[in-house]
Amino acid sequence: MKEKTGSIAAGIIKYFVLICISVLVIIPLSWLVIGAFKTEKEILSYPPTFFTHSFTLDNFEKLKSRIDVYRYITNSVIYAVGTTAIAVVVNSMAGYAYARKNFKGKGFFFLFTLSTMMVPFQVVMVPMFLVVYKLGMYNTYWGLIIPRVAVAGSIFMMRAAFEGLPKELEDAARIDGLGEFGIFYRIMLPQVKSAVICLVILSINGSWNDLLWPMLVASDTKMRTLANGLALFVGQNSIQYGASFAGAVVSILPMLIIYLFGQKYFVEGMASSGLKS
Amino acid sequence: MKKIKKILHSADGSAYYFIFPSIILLLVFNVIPLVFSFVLSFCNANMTLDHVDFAGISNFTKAFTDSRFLNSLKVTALFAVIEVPIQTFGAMIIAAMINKNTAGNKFFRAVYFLPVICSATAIGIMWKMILHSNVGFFTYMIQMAGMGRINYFNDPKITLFVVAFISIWRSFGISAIVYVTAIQNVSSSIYEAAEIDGANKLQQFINVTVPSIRPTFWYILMTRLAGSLQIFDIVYMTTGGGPNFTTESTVTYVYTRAFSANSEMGYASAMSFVLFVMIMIITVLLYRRMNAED
Amino acid sequence: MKKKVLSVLMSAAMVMSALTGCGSSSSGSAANAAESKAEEKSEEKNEVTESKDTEETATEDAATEVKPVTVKFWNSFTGSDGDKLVELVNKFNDENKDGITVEMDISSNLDEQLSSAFAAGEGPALLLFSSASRFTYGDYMQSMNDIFDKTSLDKNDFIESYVDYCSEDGETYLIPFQIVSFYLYWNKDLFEAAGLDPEKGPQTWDEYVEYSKAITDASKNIYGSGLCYAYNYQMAHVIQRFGDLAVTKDDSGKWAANFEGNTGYAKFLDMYKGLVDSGDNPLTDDTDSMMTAGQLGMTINGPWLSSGMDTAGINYGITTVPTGDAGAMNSVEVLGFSVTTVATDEEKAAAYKFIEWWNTMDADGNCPALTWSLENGCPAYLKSLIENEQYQANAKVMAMTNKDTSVRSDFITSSAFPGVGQIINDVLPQITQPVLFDGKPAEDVLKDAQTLADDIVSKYN
Repeated sequence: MKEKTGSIAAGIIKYFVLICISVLVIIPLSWLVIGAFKTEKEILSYPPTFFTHSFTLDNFEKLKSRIDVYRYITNSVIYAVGTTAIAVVVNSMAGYAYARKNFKGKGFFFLFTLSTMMVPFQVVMVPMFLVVYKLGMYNTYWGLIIPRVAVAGSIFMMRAAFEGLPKELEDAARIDGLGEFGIFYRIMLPQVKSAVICLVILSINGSWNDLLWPMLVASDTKMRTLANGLALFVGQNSIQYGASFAGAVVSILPMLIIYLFGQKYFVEGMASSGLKS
Repeated sequence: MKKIKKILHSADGSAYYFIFPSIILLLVFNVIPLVFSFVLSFCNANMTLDHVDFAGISNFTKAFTDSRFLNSLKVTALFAVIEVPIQTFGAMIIAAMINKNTAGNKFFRAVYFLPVICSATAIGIMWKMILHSNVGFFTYMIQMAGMGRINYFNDPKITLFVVAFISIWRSFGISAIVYVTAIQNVSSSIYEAAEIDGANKLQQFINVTVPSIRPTFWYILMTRLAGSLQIFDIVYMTTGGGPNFTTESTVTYVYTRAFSANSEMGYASAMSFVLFVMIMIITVLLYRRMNAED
Repeated sequence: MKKKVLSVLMSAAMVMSALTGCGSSSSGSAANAAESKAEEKSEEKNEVTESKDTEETATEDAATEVKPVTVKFWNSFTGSDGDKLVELVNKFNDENKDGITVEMDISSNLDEQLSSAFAAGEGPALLLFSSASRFTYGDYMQSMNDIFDKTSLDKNDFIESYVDYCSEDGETYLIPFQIVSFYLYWNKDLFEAAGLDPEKGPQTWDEYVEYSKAITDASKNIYGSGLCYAYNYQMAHVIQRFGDLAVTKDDSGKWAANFEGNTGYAKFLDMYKGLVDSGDNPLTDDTDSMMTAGQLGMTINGPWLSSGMDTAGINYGITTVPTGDAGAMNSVEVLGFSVTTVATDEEKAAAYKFIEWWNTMDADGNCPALTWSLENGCPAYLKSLIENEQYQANAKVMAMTNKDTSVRSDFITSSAFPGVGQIINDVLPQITQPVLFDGKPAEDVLKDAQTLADDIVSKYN
């Protein structure tokens, strides 16, 4: 009996915490989204409002007339999808090796990889740009994508995922006569599907919202990404909040759709891994 | 030759094939630039790099007498002390609350991840307006609730906490989801065994969940630590380092020095190397600890 | 924030330009990067050469025939003002009888485009940028002293201080195009509510303080004064009214910083601190939003603030920034036309024709410079335009115009001091913030600022 009241109290506390955090997330974001449909006057009115009294689509039209939204979205998609597709292969391969293989120099290579995570990007971006420039990848999609593929953090994450798998899986596959790549690709990779989905979403998200790197490497107007275009918009002398909010909404929307799609896999990835039972 | 081939074909030796692409890419696009900027830290150079003179260690000695740099180290350390524990432990506890695949938990997970998909530009402009000292929506609501008007972005005592809050707000969703994934991968047979032993939920969490997700814990701890010691974009989009430099992190200051009207690339590189060495030392210590546990 | 984002972009563009310049010069061969761009350029070049050939033969045949010339004209007016510029340039191309075509390219990455082009020995013949650009591109800018001999433009019609601003050692590098200054904006409704004359902004800083106190209404969250410690440009425009320029040449002709013992600066700092302490000036890093929201009685900002207030329906007035102890002055940045070293003699002559056209009144009483000034809300730099009826009829630009055309024009340092950006971005925050937040005495803070400024100044001596 006593235990039951305890668990009810715990449940109340739990949901109280969870709901509080949800409110802290939802309220500001809704305020932003609703703001995109307010007039400039209402956004900057005192006392501030939450719901709009002045529904308008002007902000979106203003945005469209000033920046080439469709072109920028296309570029962002190419950048995000290209980076992610290659990143998943490269990083999960490396993570797999660090998690499941014992080889000479493993400690060295892993620390080497980790150390790249410790370097502030702002510091190496200029030399990094020089390398890209010298390789003739300036103002190309390859120049955008290739340098951003190998990410220490992702390798680290995949390593953590692969480490959790039982040794028997691998051994059974080896007895079945599968090659090393076969074991990795056919047996091990599907086991960490949820981590892969995680990686995909984080990678797409990272490149979608990346600001500094595309600004350096893709300076051509035709190569500009959506994040860049928006920053240009916000960067004008007299900031237009309505249009900036509209831009923010436009930039969030595609990610939201991808995320809602991927959310399903966060759950399924686990169920189909065969590890649960 | 044959020996090398044999190694590469062995189960463990094939690892070299697996790590090869990442090592090459990191070498070309991270390590070479890093070496380049290391060399630069011993020079006086501007942004255009067309006047580069050897400067010895003068940039390093200058750094340790530059009060703005020392202040920025303090700010960065303080920021990490606020952010990292919340990200590593707070997110773990939240993850434990929402790891079961019920409809409610799926909803919470979806919500917590929302800020992650927003760009720094969007988050910056949003919080700046919501917490505006005068016309901000939250500022107004808090005042209406009788808690007084709080000057979130202009009070040297609290602004760093506000920046840390925004930073946590933005990325705790990743930490939580990564933990959820890890917790779900813990074999349920272990829980069943623990239950038979009479362990309650809390004991199960401490004795089963926590040890089982150790690699993920280390992953979160190290990435968040590295991330918070390099905090830049949130500061840049909200306070710009103010008020009175109380939120000026090291990377923000380095960036200012490197890319302002009179750029001091050499000095900026030197300062970032000091930061890099500090992060490296912390990481190596943590890495040792992690390996000792394994 | 807008300033910050802008500076990110600008610095990125600068980094870019730096590297492009560096890369293409060191690699020697045609840069493999930006291949299509390079090809495009060389094609254009061929065309130009071809047309030149035909021109030459044509002149030999009939000396009276008009030579077609194309002038490449680059600038960075990406905003809505750019549309107006396109319209005016098209008008010139249609109207002129000298066969001149001005080929305009508006770019948001002007810096990057420029340095790669200059490094390759190409680039525009005509440019439009800020006078401070000469600290970066001085090597590529031609002296334009002869424009007053070769065209009908009258040097005496230009307000002298603006031309001085664009000159160094007697050589004029830019011909003024737009005067960017900061103004005092006041909210007429709030003035009225406080019992002040809504049609008259403060003329002195004493009035400014007095009005601020009258307007502030804590119960409504309304403040009278809108000084903003995080807005370095605003601080620069105001502080020079109190204590004059921060860097000038001393008797020996060397640069010297004037922070320590500057009683004018100290007076400003005490005033600002006093207004904050008495609750008449909000302690905020963003006054623009408050002004646009109608919560602020007065603030100081550039011409761009007015469009936001127009859309928000604020009833406001504009006037020049009140004069302080340092006496009457304009605090301005000047944007201007520059002819580059890339331009051939023909192109230079054609560019001059364009500048002449820009500043000349036609038979119908239209002048592009006048149109530009009225449309974009920036004061005129030609004395004759200030006398113009249309100009006089525009209350807004008239309010921005300093009636005394003989007054000097500067911005925070002598206009020839190359470290002006550092003074604004690195030193000014170090004097306002310690006073506001740590309560340090102004004199001590200015002493510290002197050390900082001396370090910057020493690099240019």
